[in-house]
Amino acid sequence: MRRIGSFFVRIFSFFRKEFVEVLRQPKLILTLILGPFLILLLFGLGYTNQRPPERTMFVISKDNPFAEQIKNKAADLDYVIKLVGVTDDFDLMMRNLNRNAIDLGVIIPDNVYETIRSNQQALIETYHNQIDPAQITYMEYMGAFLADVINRQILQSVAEQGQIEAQNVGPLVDNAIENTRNTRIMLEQGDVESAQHYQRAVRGNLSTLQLAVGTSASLLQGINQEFGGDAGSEGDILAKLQTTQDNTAIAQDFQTGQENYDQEIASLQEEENILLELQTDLDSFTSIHPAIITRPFVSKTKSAIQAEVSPTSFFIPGVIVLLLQHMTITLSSLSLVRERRAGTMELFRVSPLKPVEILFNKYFSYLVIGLLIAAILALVVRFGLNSPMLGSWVDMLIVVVLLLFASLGVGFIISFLSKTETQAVQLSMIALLFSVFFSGFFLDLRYLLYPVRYISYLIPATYGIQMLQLNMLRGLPINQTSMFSLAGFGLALFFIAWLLLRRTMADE
Amino acid sequence: MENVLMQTVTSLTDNVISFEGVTKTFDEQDAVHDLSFVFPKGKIIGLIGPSGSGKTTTVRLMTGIYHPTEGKIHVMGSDPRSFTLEEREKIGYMTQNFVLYPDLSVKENLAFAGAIYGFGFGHRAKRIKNLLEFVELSDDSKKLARNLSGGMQRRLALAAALIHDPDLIFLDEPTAGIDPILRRKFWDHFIDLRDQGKSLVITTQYVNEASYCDLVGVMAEGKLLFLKKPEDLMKTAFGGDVLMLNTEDSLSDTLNNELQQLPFVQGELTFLQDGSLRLIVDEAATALPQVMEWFKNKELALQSAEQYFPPYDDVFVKLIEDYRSNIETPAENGGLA
Repeated sequence: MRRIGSFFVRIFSFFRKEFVEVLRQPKLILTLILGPFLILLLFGLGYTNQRPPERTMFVISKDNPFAEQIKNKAADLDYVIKLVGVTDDFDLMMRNLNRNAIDLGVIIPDNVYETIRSNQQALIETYHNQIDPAQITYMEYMGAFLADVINRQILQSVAEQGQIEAQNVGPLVDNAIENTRNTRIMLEQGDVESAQHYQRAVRGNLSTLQLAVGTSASLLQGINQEFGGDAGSEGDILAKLQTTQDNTAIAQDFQTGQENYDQEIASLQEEENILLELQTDLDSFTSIHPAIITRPFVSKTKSAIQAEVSPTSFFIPGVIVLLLQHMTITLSSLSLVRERRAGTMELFRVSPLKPVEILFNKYFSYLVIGLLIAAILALVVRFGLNSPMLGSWVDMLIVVVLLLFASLGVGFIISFLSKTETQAVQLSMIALLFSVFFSGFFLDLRYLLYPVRYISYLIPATYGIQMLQLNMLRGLPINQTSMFSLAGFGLALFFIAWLLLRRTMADE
Repeated sequence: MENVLMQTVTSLTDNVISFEGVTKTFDEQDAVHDLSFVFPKGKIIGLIGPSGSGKTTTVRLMTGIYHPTEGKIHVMGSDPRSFTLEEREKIGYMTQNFVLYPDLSVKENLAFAGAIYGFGFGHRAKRIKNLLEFVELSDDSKKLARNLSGGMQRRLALAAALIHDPDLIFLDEPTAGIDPILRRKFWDHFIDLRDQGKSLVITTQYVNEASYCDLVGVMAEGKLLFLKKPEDLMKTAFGGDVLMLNTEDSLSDTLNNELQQLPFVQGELTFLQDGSLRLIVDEAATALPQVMEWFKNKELALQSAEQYFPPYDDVFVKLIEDYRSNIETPAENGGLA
């Protein structure tokens, strides 16, 4: 019974000692809590998540027919590029790029028509001066985007031209309808000769129509076939024209002296209806904006996450995890190094404290201190920075406890590897740097190849960030695999730290 | 030599510490070499010796911090390597350097030290109060340890070592940097503790403090040269008791020879600059009346005659010098080492 009492007396006493020592370093507390909060606040205030337009210069020869279009189009793209100038001097553009006066140089090729005629794509080259791999990727994307914009522009011009042509053929359709109707009426009245006259007029009308609406109607038909439009829609214009032209009533001359012309009359009535539909379709086709014809789809992305996750909010779980890990590693590594260097360990070795008890007491003390700091941090980010908290606070507590537990192990192992406090701080900083790169804090782990990715799973923050992001930003329960992995990792580190402490205390 | 040491102490009382041929080596250099002795229970044993003589290593071997490279150690009947928790609770240890927590106050440091031994708040409060009074730190109990002077830190460390009322106390230079008045108070307390039945092993560089000890071990170069009662140590240093005589008349060479030939006189007579005569005798108590009688018989006027107790500094210096000269010329001196 006395032993149990002593056990709790020691735990409380260790905690009190460590807590008081931390409290008596107000600068440390400020650094640990206020520092990260201010960093996050500044980041939140200053980060817009909107990329400024790239300062762009086009290189295009003066007689290139695209020159004027480029200027006009650049003005429409002011959300991605800022037109600095258009020149025909490649060297001038390169000089500007090299002295960082522009971000992007775009070379528009000459002889585009000839190139296409020779069954080749015309090449738009883009030049940039970036050294950041992510920025280089963006510039490559920008090159492809600009080529796409120009391609669309050309298609849109074609569609516009088609619509103008379609508008021009309106009177031709009217004539075709009128002549078809007259053909039918003449046949009904038995005037075969007049009917044949109107029939020839209809044939001429239909041929002209087919030529006139061909381009734009083909485009529309292509869209219709690709995406499965309804029968009778605008996409059937050419088919209707062809059907009407192929209709036997129009295609074949009427035979005089027939007993009746009922079949031809019915056929002509049907053709007339088709032409009326064609008239409606053409009206409808010309009313569609060319941009919609050439770019029928637009996208709008919506998040399934309940909360709006700003860039600051996204980084908050990672910052909390990294901060807690770093704080815990630093404090615990310094703690044992200091005890060893100051000679307190000498007193422990004579005292009734066992290595496992010393370690347990230290773990408990820093766990409680870490939890207190974590609680303050969580409240500050939740209510000070309005960070989302979609998950359970209990889950968050479990994640933080496991994270601290494993981080303490790393810290204590560092303390055994360090001979001085400076070494301990340096190793703690290396652990932080290591975590920043390999924990998934800002780099998605999927970008890391195996076996390098395995290194990530030797860092407590990797599990912590994964679980805390799921909890805070997605509101999902703790991932069991991550939880048990982190707990197992923490236990393994505790065991190693215990072995090292036992060896240290055993003999000199 | 080892047998002498063993014999000296085994006659005193039960043993609390025994060393048998203990050597501790660091980097192939012996920090202590072939130590064999027994320390009796309930005594103050002082270890004196120059810096680097192996005092602290010996204490660390006794506490179990160091394990011997060779030999056997028993403390309270157990090997220090396998002390039980109960045995550890009986040991108090004050290190040579200040090892408590600079960011804790005096009182907090003592509370932590007490808690290590499982003393709850209620149990340790009164003890802390008494110890603070003893080390005269009551008024500074809220001061952070880092703001204490060196002497105050020693006092705090001493209080921490005694917080759990241990039976066997190891104090590594507890009086270093302490003013003479408080130092005396410390020794009075150590004697009190001894009288309560505690055993104390105390290292010191203040050689005169040897007089407070029941037994004094003199160490040099990793060896225990002597382990004796303080007065015996004096005898060893000078070859016997010292008598100091003041005469009105100067002694002729003949009388000098006669005096020197007396059976209880050891070695040659020494005439000091102030005219006094120093005489080494085997036992001062018996020799003094006989010397006075000799002077009377010779009708020589003897102004004063008394036993002289030389400062322990002199005793210590003499012992070390003798040891070193023996090392240098072992054949001539019989090889004390």
